[in-house]
Amino acid sequence: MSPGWRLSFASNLGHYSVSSSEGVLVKLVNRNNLSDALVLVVDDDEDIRSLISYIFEYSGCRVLTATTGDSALLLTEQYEPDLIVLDLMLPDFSGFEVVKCIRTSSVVEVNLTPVIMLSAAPQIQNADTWQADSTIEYLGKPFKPAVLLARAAAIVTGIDTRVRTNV
Amino acid sequence: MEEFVRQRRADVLSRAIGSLENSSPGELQAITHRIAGALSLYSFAEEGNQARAFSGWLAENQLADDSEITRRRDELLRLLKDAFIV
Repeated sequence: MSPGWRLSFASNLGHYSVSSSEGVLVKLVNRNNLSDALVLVVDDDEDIRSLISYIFEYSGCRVLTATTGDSALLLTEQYEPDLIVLDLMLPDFSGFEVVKCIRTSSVVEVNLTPVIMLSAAPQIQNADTWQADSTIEYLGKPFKPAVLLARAAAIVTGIDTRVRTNV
Repeated sequence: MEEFVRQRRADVLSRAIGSLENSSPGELQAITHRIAGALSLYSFAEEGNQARAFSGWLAENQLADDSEITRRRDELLRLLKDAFIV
């Protein structure tokens, strides 16, 4: 096959794409809604974590939680969540450092996992160098649950297009 | 959703007060940043805003006197305790 070929196929586990340029198998989550999506919620504050978890569970998602960047990386590589909701300020790493580790993980299936980064608005506005990463959505605290869900739904249902543009 | 928040918001406020009371001046910036997010999400908008403002002030005034830090912390504590009463 010529350089740049791509083979896509679907199974009952999801849609997949093999890219010659990356040499990796990338899972493409092609959903109509958030229902049954696996969401990893990462925040060191128990009250925030439980509320965000409730928001997604209420919407039919399966939820994993982590309190540190280190545990978030482990869970991401082990369970390959469809979406990560990540606090910018964690006890051990910044959210950006966690994203960097995910993007370069040896578990290539998770490299393009979409992320919603949460933090106070001023910090997010200062994160200029990361604004170009189209797989990160930024959401300032406080946020309305409906806004979080709308962003999450847009990301999860639109991930096919996003991944294709990044492979 | 409203019920989830309603059932827990008193505990969230109580924990925020406890965290503030038990933190040293050196810990306050991280603590106030953390509780600001939780307070706001649990419908303590003004209290969350004030905690966030205090956290921002601490970040910009890292050489501030402990007495001034304590004064501002106590001001925030009063606001939170008033919210608890209401």
